[in-house]
Amino acid sequence: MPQFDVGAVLKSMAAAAEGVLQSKWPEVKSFATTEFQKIAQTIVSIGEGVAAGTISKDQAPILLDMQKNASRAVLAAVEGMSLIAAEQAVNAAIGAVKTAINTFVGFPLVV
Amino acid sequence: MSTLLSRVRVWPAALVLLLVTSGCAVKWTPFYDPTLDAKATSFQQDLEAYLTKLENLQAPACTYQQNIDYYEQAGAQLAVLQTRAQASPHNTQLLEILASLNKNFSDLKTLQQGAGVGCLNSTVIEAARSGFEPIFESLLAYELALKANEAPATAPTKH
Repeated sequence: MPQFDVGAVLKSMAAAAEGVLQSKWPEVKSFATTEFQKIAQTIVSIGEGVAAGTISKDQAPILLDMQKNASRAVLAAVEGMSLIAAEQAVNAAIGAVKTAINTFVGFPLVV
Repeated sequence: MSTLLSRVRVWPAALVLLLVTSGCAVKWTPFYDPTLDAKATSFQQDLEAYLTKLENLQAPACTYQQNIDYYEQAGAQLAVLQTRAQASPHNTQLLEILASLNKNFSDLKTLQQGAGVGCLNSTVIEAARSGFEPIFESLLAYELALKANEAPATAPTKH
């Protein structure tokens, strides 16, 4: 199974989200970092589950979507953040590591 | 008609004038809603019980078709939560949290429908569960913050 460098992935996700949120970033940084760790962990679980046959390729994007929704909710609950801004940040963060994710899981989980 | 329009236009100005001259401040903030809090907790308990039940069921008892009742009841609970949230003042954050909850509930339904005549395995159920937990934590934190800062049913508060 290909390597998934969680540390490098988290750095890229944070940089992408910071670029989207700009002045809001310092306020949400700690929440976002925690949420990105959860997303990264979910990706690891999905990759391992798909490899082990316990998660299907149809289920994988739904499970990732659920974690993304959860992270959006957490970020949107920060004072002054909108769901749209939270969504843009999460999408940018995942988009920045799309290649690493898809290589790790072995199929286009993020399109 | 023009008289009616004039009255409609005058009311906001009259309200502002009343507040200014009376020296009162109106605090437009969200307020703690104990009913919404209780219903959210009830929804979470039902969901957790349902996921735990699913982990221990065999086909065909574990299929979507055999569990439509849960989705109907939980869907109704969610609709009530959203209606109460809609009626709350300054409800943006609450509505956003509930929108995410609604989306994940819909995703869970899709997962179970996709399993067809089979069961969702424990790996999938656990991954789904972990997608709900941060949302409930956010909802709880939001309600607790309101509860700590305001007496129930006091918004808008007039001092």
